[in-house]
Amino acid sequence: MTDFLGYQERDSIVHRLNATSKLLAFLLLTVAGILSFDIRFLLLLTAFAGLLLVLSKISWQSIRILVYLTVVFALLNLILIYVFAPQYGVELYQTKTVLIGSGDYALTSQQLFYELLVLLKYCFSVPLSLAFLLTTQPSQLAAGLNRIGVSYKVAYAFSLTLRYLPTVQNEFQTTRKVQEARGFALGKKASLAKKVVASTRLLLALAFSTLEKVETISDAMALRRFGKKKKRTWYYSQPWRVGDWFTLAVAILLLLLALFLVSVDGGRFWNPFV
Amino acid sequence: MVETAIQLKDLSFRYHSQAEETLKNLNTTIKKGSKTLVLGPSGSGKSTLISLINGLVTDKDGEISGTLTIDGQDQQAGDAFERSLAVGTILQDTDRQFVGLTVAEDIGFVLENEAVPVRQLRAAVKRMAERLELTALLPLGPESLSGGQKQRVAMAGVLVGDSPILVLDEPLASLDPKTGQQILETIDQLHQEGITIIMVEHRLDEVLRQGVDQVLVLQDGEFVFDGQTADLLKEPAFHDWQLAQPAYLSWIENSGYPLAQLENRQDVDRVTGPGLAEALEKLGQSEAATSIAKVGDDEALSVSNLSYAYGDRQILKNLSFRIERNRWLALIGENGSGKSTLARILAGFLPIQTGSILATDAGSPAGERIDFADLTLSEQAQYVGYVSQNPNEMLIGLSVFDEVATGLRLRNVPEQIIEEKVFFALKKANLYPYRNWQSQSLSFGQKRRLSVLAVAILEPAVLILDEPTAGQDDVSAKGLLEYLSILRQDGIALVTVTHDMALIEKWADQVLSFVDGQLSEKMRPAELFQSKSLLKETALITPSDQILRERLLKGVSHD
Repeated sequence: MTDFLGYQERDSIVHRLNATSKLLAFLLLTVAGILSFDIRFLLLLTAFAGLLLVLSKISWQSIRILVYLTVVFALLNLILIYVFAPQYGVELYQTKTVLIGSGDYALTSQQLFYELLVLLKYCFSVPLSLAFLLTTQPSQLAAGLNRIGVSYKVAYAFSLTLRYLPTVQNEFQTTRKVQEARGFALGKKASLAKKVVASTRLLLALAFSTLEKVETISDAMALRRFGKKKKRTWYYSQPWRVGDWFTLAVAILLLLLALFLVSVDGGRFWNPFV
Repeated sequence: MVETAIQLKDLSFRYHSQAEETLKNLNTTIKKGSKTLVLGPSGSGKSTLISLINGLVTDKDGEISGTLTIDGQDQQAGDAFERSLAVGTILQDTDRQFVGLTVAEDIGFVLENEAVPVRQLRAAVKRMAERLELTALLPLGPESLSGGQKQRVAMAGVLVGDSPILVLDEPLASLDPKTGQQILETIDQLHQEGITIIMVEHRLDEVLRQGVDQVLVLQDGEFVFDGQTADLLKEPAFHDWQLAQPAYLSWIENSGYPLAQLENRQDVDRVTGPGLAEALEKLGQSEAATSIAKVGDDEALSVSNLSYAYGDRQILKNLSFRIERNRWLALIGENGSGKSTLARILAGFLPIQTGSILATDAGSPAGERIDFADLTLSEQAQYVGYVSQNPNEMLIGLSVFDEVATGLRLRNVPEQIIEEKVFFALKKANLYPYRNWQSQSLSFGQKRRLSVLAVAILEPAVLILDEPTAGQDDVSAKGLLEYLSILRQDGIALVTVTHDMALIEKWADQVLSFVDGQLSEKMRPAELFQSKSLLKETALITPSDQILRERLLKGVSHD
């Protein structure tokens, strides 16, 4: 099993950044990207996110499937927007330029332009998330969360979840097979109702064994003094470098730019049709 | 001057939730820098004793009377945090106590929690890794470590906290004998360095090869023995305490030779006694006469040209063999040799990539064969049952009775017959008194037995068990093995994937050994134990009775 969306160890500029600065920049840029519907800004953001992904040296092979899935999902989304709200662009931009067809489903440049904006939101958010998630080691992330004020217990719980996810996953796979062999209807031939009953049992069993696991783990942690002090240090904590100030500055500037554009455009949408 | 590490004076403990005391009037002294072994069957109070020592159980959990002195200080109060300064604990489940994402982070965990500055923290981790030969593993996660490596990481993670006393709860439970010996050597190294070691372990035979200073035997919450190994082994009550006798002593005892006449009886390499060799030789001759018992060889399953690969990695290479009814087959091999993969393919949990598996239909007189490629998982389960090593994967939180009955109910067996069958099986496996309990509230050993029943009750032609005896005390293991041998007499073919040498030696009829994805010829257990090279390749060690045999009755080895 390849770990989907897991940390990939590489040596790159993005990897070397402090997890805290990366996390903050990621949050700021995401807010900016959600806020703005100005195509000029979104293009800039997309280019920036793309650049980050290239800089992070993530192989195309490892993200290929995810990108394909996103493309399919984005296209579906675009088609559905057109099906349910074919004239939404016209409403937004208060003009109507029909390209082909007539009536409700007439294709307008305004609608095309709006859908292009939606597509751009995918185009910046997916590379940005990948460049963040795949280059940040979970422990560094936990240390980063702790640094921006999240309690270290919460932060550690987060990285611990990632640590035990594969174990729980494997256990679930075997449990499933065992129960199917026992005669529980989980295979392809079983009816939906039977599947639901059997799956519920399975999930309950998994919950029980996970709780038991959590108990042992928390014992093991207490025996090694987790929670004894108000503060803790992190083996994987990273120094704060010039690059981190730079990253943070770029992210803040971009967010300010987005806010500035909102005030200049008189709203979140920039209207090229007037 | 010898100082005291731990002293118990009239120590008793009763959990709030229980009417009876779990520990009763315990008195003992454990010296600083000594190595102590705690023995006793499941439920004798070993875990509670350890938890009292390491502070996981305190007066919040129950009533403590008497005194527990650690390092000269009365430790009635105090929690796990403070106690861990004096006592470092390694839990039985090394996977769950691996809390870091990598070896480095896990070793440094205590120091992180002590808020030690990062530079010092990293230096300390580096030093500790060098001490326990873990440097190359520092950046790796737990998924890429072997059981023995995880055990060493766990030790490093505790030792880095500088606790002078180290408590180990069944350190060998999930290890093969070869790795077990390596871990015992590491423990011995720490002992030499002056650390006080307290170890709970069932595998007495293997522990004795490195020796211990003091043995404590717990029985129903009381110490019934406190002394040296040599005295323990000649105790008349030894068998009453349900402990696993070292194989070489069982052999001597079987010959009728009085144990009291032995010298150095705690050491297989030095044990002697007047007329011992003669007595053993006589027994050997009578054994040879009776061991050629004929067993039927009806084929239950035949595997031909089976290969399997995970991606580019070839795990199984063109295997062909037969599994026969009424036979007990032990599948052995180093971790990662492919034996578990084979077991999972036979059980239908992994697909057949190339080759074929055919089951013989016992019902048809012509011995018709059924191809597994055509069966669903639940159909295949009627031919092959699989019992995983982890009982949590097998049980789903029903009552003990229902866990066993479910498979029958799902196959529409009348309730009256179900009750009869399930009660019979529960009695055989010593689980009858617990039939109305929830499966989750059973002990680990009980859960293991229950998960065997849940599969065996369907009477598959072949029953595959992954390490059935791991982590169980002698009585539980024997109970389970006896139940299995009844199943075998009834016609089931047993396949156990195992490292348990006693199981292989005393219970199995045939051994198939896995080396690099390929199988050896089938052989008898005795042949395996005479082949030093094969033992090495399959991560086993020479059993202690074989060591004695080679020393006293010369010319037996074939290597």
